[in-house]
Amino acid sequence: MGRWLTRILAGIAMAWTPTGAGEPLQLAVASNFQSALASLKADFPGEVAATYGSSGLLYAQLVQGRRFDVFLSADAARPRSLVDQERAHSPFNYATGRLVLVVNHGEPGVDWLAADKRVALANPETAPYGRAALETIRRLGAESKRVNALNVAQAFHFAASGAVDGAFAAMAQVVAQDISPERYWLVPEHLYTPIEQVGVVVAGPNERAAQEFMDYLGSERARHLIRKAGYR
Amino acid sequence: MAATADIVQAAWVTGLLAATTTAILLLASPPLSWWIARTRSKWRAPVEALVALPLVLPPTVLGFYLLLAMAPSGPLGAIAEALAGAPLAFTFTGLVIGSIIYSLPFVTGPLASAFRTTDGHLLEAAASLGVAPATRFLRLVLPMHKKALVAAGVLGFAHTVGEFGIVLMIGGNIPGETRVLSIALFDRVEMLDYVGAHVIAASLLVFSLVVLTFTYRWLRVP
Repeated sequence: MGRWLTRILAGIAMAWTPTGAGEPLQLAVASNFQSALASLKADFPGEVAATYGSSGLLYAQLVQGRRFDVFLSADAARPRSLVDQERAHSPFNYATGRLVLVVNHGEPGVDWLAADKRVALANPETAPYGRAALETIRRLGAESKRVNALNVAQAFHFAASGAVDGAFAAMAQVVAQDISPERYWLVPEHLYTPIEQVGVVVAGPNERAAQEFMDYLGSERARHLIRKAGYR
Repeated sequence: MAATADIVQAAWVTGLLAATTTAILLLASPPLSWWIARTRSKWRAPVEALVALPLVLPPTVLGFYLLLAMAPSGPLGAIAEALAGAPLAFTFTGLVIGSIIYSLPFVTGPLASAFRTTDGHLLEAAASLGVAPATRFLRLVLPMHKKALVAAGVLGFAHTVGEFGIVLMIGGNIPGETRVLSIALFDRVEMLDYVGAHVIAASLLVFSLVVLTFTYRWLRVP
């Protein structure tokens, strides 16, 4: 019995041990970039595996020693911090997010926000799109009642469930969900600080392959796919 | 420090939520538990299963459905809109409703087990003396199971303090209203404020351990 258990555990351990060559590139990707990455993955010649999550959690996992080769953050601060700690290098602004206001009823825009509505936004303290949404609300002096979601995905879900009147989300979600144009408002970019999404090559055994992927992200082909997905 | 004020506020919301939930559960659970413990109805098993569901379901499942139910177009949301003219999702009241469902088995379960041990002869004697059923329950059964009531209350309170998944789905993380400690901890980690995260995590750990230790000790005192 004990011997079988040992064998099974050894088998599992072997399956989990990184072997280096031939392994897919491990990407840590901010959740808002999920749909864009799907088309990039299909286009990129190499093999990549992506883990999606909030930039904060992915950052924490990286610092705690989880192996990633590339970190595509939703912000610029976390990658910069990794570079400062010499855990990563070659920061690159792979996409710039565009903020949208998606509404369940009414005409989205400045007037909609001025009315007494409940609007969901990603947590401004942790999520770049939430920070941009709060800036927009403040700059417009809107009186909306705010509901904080974990991230843009949850903000979008809150609106989709009908529990709030609308949500600040990422243009990428609107594109992925095929939302009709009269239901969303592309927030003018002078209303918020640009959402610069920065990626880094994580220091480690796969740096070369990681750098290849980053170079690909800068290529015209990839730029086109990223723009199509709702970024700038 | 703003961060500390935020944690204190979250602790207050958490305590208020747990206290409100426990108070309501201690009123609603005893009759329900008594029925579960004594009935021979064919509905006992389905009702017991329904009450126990939060034990086995991921809280996110409950949260997902509760959010739909609490939306203005959902059944609970429509009732709230009609009664109070206010929506239910992302409010303290909404959280209380979620917590009641979530912590119900932790109060109803232990109580039902305790009620099953009730001495039937005593009840029969009281009945033959003409004591009404409600009075028998209030004056005989409840005092007999005082310890079980306290234990159930403590479990309900502690379990509500430890709530995360449902609040994540229906809370909306509003400071002073729906931001509880478990959510504040999550935020701290996301903000890379590990000191704040440690403060909250350690407080919750110590609180839970102390409460459970005292409860178990007290339960063993004859």
